[in-house]
Amino acid sequence: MLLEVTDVKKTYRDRQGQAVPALQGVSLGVAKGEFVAISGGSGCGKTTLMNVLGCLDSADAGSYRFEAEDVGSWPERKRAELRNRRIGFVFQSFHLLPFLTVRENIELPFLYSHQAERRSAAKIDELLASVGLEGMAGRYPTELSGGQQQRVAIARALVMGADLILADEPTGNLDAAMAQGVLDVFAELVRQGKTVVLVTHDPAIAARAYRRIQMEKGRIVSDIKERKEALV
Amino acid sequence: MSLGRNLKAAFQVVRALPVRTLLLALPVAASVALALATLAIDHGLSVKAQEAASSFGTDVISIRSGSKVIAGKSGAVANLTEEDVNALRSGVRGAKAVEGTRIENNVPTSAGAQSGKYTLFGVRPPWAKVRQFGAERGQFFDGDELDSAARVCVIGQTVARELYPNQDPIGQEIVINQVPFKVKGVLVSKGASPAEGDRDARIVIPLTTFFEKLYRTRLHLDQIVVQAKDATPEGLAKLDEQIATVLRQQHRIGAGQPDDFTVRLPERIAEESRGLSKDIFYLLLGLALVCGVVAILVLGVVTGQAVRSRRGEIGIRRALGATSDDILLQLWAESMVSSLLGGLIGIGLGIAGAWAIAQARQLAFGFDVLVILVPLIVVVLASLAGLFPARTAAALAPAEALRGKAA
Ligand SMILES: Nc1ncnc2c1ncn2[C@@H]1O[C@H](COP(=O)(O)OP(=O)(O)OP(=O)(O)O)[C@@H](O)[C@H]1O
Ligand SMILES: [Mg+2]
Repeated sequence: MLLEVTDVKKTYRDRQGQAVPALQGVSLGVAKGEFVAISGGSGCGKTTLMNVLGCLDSADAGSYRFEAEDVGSWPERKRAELRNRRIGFVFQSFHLLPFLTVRENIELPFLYSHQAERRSAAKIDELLASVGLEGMAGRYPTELSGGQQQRVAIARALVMGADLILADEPTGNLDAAMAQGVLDVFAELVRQGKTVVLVTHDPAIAARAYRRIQMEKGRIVSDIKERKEALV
Repeated sequence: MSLGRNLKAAFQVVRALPVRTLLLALPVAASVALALATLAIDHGLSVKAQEAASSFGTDVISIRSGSKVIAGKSGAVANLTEEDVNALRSGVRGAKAVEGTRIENNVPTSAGAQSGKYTLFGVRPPWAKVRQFGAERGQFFDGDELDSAARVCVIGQTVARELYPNQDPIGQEIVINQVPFKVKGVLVSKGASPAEGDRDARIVIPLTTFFEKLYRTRLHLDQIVVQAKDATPEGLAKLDEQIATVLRQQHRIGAGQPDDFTVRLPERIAEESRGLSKDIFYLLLGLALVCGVVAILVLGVVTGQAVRSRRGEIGIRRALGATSDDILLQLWAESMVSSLLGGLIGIGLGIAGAWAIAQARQLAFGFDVLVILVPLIVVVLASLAGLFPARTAAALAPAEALRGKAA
């Protein structure tokens, strides 16, 4: 198992102080190399679960093991390092910094890395080519289409060599053609051995994953695995 | 957490927002410039005042006629006399020397084809020692010349330069108020003082000659100088009291009546020479302080606002591996860049301004070493001001920060 959550619970409080149960006991294991799509109605807890998996938030109860380490109880400094080195994030609204060029956006994770690895311009160019953005390193995000921006975000998620990609509605802001293009990139990453967990409302997107999880009201209600070869 | 990488992040932001950076820098610059210039000019002025006081003599008390004497001008009533001098000599125990002076301003003087108007002093030879105002070249007149009311004089360096261009004045003839004199010597240079004007535009003659050959009808004195045996503040205060007692008795001033003379102690003389009054000094420093507070508030408020509008950016950085300390350090570095820039501009402007004024007013240009603390304090405080609003934002869980709109 790459990661394993057991009976994770998370309850928010709204402004009136009312309890809003977002996760009501979720258990889930994801093996290395899996391609997982999580679907479910709005407000069923998909983003909350992704935040727990990405160490962006902590659960109220339950455990979270990443490569058998109890990262749920790690101090923030170690969790930040885990995010930096092992996990790549892709968000619905891209979340690129508008005042940085494509290259600088992709290099951003190096800023927060503890290892002194040299980022080489060639490596960034190679990465850009692999997501279909050759020659765009000097542009600013506003000079790119939505699909291109999302590819920059994917390149940024990969630059540190992350093996887990967490994508929360990565195609939510893209049209169907651009969405399939981004999905092609994810499929290629899985083929290379990376693990991808994505959240989507779109059955056509979910259909490209090998494992489909359905959530409802803070719980997993179905979990269907297919053979990997079937959809590559 | 490391300063280096967050400095880099800060520079990327600053580079993207040069106008904001400059605007934030301005109040810091204003405050630093104002504080530096004020301190530097005050430094120059107090050096000058010190010089003025010590060239008058730090142990010399001046008595002028009139109850309110405006610095450098004689009072309305001319009521000091030789009798007062004698009474002070015998009645004031703390005095080392007492010398009366007769002073006349704007006395027409000529030598050959040159002419000018100078301040004429009638004194006895010991006066030169009391005021440390002897002859630099040639000689001061002596007791015999005083007794015989000789027509001899010692001239200041401005007089020498103006009346005897390219000539040695010693031994030459000089015509003072239509009476011919012989120049015996040239006085040491004392330069200009705000209180006394150009102290080198003076001519000094024997007091007897003044009364017998020049101004026969006005036999009063304009100033009495008293040299103290004990020049400590306590000694001078005691002397001041003794002088007042003797003079009030001499002038028959009843109890409760105001003095008809003014006694000035050395530090008063220094103060009057000061130029930049303490009030204005504190006003300017206060203004610098206000600018500093404004700078700190502006940086605090702007950083606070930035933190709110940049929640998305903070969330992304956290997701990419930044700790909350990294975020704090970056925000601090950003305001540090602004305030440092402001500090540098302020130091430049402040020094340039102080230098220009020092040049124009012929002041010593210099700084107290402690002055470097001013920009340092402003810069550090201003940059720290941004941290208070930044703390809460940096402490949010990354997920929470990301929920705020995208960057
Ligand atoms: N910070 C918060 N404070 C209070 N309630 C929250 C907070 N974040 C999420 N919730 C609530 O928790 C529940 C789950 O939210 P979550 O964002 O995980 O849903 P989701 O499945 O991602 O929905 P969507 O498909 O609309 O993105 C919702 O009812 C939501 O209103
Ligand atoms: Mg969501």
